[in-house]
Amino acid sequence: MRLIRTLLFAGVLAGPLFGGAYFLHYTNRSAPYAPAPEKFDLTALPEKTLTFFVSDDGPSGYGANDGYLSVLAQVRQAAQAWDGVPGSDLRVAFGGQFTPDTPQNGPGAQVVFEDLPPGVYGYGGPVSSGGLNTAGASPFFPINLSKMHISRDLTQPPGPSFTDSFYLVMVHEMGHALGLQHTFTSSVMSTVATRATSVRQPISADDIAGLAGLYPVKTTVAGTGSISGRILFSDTGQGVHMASVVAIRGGAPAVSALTLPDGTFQIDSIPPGQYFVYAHALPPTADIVNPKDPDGKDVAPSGSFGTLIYPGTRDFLQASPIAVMAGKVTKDINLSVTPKASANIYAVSIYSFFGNNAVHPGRFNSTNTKGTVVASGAGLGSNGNAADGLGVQAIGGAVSVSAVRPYTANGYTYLALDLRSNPMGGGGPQHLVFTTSGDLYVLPSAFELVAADAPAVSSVANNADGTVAIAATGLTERSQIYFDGVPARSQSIDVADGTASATPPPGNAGQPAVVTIYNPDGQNSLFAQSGSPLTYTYPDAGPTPVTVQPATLPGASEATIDVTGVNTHFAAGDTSVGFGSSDIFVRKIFVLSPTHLLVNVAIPAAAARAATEVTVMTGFEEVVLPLAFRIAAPVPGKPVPYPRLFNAVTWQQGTYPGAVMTLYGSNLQADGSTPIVSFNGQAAPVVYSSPGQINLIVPSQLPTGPAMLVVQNGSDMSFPVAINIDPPAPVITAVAVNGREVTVSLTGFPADAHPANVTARVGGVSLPATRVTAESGVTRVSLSLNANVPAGDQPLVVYVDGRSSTQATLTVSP
Amino acid sequence: MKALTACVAALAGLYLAVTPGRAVTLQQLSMDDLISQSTAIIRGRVLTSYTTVNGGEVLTHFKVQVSDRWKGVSADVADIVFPGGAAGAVRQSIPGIPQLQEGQEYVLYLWTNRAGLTFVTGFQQGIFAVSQGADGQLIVQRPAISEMLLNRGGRPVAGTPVRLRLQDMSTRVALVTRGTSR
Repeated sequence: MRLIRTLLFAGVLAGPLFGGAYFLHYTNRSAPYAPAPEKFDLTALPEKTLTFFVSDDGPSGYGANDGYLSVLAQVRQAAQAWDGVPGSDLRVAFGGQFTPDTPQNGPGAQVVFEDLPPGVYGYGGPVSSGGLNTAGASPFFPINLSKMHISRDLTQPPGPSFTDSFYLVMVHEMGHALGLQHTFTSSVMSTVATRATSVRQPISADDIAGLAGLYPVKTTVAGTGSISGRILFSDTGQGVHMASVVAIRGGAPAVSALTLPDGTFQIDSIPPGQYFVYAHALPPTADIVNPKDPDGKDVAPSGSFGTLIYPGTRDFLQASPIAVMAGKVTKDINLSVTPKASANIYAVSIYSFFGNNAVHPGRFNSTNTKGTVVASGAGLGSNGNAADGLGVQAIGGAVSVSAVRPYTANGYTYLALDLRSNPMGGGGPQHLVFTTSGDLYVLPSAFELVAADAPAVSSVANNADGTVAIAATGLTERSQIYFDGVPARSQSIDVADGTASATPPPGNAGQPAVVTIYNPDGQNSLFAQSGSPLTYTYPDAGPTPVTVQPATLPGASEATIDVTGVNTHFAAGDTSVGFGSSDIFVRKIFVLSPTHLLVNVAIPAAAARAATEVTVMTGFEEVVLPLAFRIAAPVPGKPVPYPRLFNAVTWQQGTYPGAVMTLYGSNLQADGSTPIVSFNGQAAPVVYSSPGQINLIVPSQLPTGPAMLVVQNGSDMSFPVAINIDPPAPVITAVAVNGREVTVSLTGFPADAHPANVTARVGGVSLPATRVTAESGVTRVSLSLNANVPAGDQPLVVYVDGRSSTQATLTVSP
Repeated sequence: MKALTACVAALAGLYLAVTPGRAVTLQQLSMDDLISQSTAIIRGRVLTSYTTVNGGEVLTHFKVQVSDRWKGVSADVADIVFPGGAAGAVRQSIPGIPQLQEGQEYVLYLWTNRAGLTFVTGFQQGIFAVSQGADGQLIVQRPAISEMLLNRGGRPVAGTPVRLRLQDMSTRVALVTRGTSR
């Protein structure tokens, strides 16, 4: 999470789309090349959100303790992994089940379980149609459907679904569905041999950079850097097409890019620091779809070449580190590479052993000083011997390889790598370099250097209050308990006693769920217990019938659907609702109680008229209502309010009683009449209206929470839509100034506000809170004025968690 | 040496916490697996190809003039499909899907689904090009599998090239098929 947080605040650089690992089309035939990727058109996705649906005819065979609910839960969590990636404007959601062949017109993504040809576990790839979209700054070919085909037989890999490997397969395949191809940095988009991500950190820096490059946010904050250059063949001086160029440093994941036909590249979204840069040819198992030329024909990679490290060496000790600075492009990182027939060493996996279980990628506990991991891959050796002249080194100095010992098992040749840890070295991913006289192969994140043994569950028992008592070794304060791959709803851990208490996610009576402990270092209790995991069995519970109302809506509508259940366990952030079609978009779910939801949905005018399947899922508690919802023909002239209000005062945020708000939509006013707007039946004074916009005053007596807004446009009434009513704006009661230090006193401010969530704006300059204290209903926010704040009388507003205070005036000294 | 012994012992009873993660993921099939799990095995020459859109996805079809049937039933001209391709303005990119060459003769291991679409068993694994060897004998061969192959334990394994006499393959198919039918 540390990396993700860093990137979240850092943002990404805006810039031209270079040769990332995407499904590319070259729209011209000579340099400078203009690559256009295949990707989803964010303007065609509601709220820039792609929703994944899972076919309701699920797998036909499961391993022990496995089932469809676990499959669905893993797909939902995989979607969450790609949602909100720093620097990416794309959002990803889980839509529950769908019935295959349901007519739908919007762009979508699906997971289907099928009888596949023998020997095929799964396949998938994006479908694009239509021509080049040139509406934005970066042309692209729009994807309209991505479908992941998975074998119905989950007794075979990638099953069983409760393992982290099934989950990571789902994350990987979703990456393809979004428009990402394979990379060679051991990221989640790397192939199975080298992939090194985990449930606790499913995507790595390269995955983040890849998605951020494909769906960049419009406003970027300089906080990461870039490296650019060119890879040329030494004999001809020609550019190398589709060389993989990698930026790497010890103890951190690598970031990469592919070269364009003229050999140019740019690696973006690199956290600042010192990096080595190397270029390697695509391995024989790269499995990358070639870019297309303007005629739609393949543009193949250039021939193979020997891996080279900047500034032109095969020895990392002779390499020159490259400084990456926030907001800067480090240019002219050029390499002149020598052609060679093909790579000898590639697709190397590193394993470590927990009892009889081989775990990939390997882990080395540095507190043991010495340890052994096992390497397997093409070109490492044969017949029990290592490849001629083979040497193995670690990058960074945290670990050294003291011996390489080849051996055979089951007819294959493996290398046992004896490791020694450096007491002064750090932890994290460790990179290995394999060399022979004619080959150099770098394996990023080959294994993880950890400081403790993996956890193990020793007992699981049901408590009378519905919680689960767990005894385990290797618990930490930040361990996370999972039930069939889904995090516990709540948990408490006693590290000293080696015990924990957890509230499992809701499930169905009699359902067995494998209990797994995941530690922050990526290790989990299945490392040693995958053959005989301990399980929790859900107790008997009553049926969970659910009803939805209304069950029919027309195209071109915004509405709130009322969902009521019996014996259900709805919870904010834990309950998802889907309507079985990419034509019905769930904007927001309000959880009123464990048995009552309000669901705001949007249906476009072009939606296919169809009956669809409704899925309501909380943990493993799933209710499916076949053909329970219907899309009808649009109703001309019906008012359609967009279910979000915008504060009409430019510096104000939040929808609270008495606020002047703007409501957007269509048909909001008919024939020049003044529309009537109500919240929970209370009329809202309208101060301006047009067919597309109404300015109104929120009724002063509304309680906080969801309120149903209805618009009567003079000839027809809208469907009710739920609007969240915020608490009244905090009021600035006093401002004290001491030099450049300012203390703002407020009432109505959240007493538990964390300083990290509090900012102020003075004269248009945003300032973080340096201190927040609360006493007797008054909150004091401390600020330090910086040199950017203009002198004179300046407007002052304080923000907390998206809400703004009233405005005051601050006199700033020069 | 103790650690090495432990590793060997561990690998002997291997459970590997790895599973597929590619655009195409294949299970390693032995020659006998290919024979027994295919619904038809034919020898034939590729006549032409065309594409269709099925459920929003692209299928590339190859029409194959069948010259010999080693297992199952096949029309004189078999229609064999591969996922992906370009059908007009609709394109689907699936890394790792093999293609057949028009005019080339193959031995193909086939599997037909419940919808009546015929695929190649194990994708790359079920395609053997027919050619004449230096000694004049007909041979069948398959290049190394470039896709990631997993064995039954879920462990990545190398897909080695296959080359043998057409007659030998035919004999093997007959033997295994008889064994299966018994």
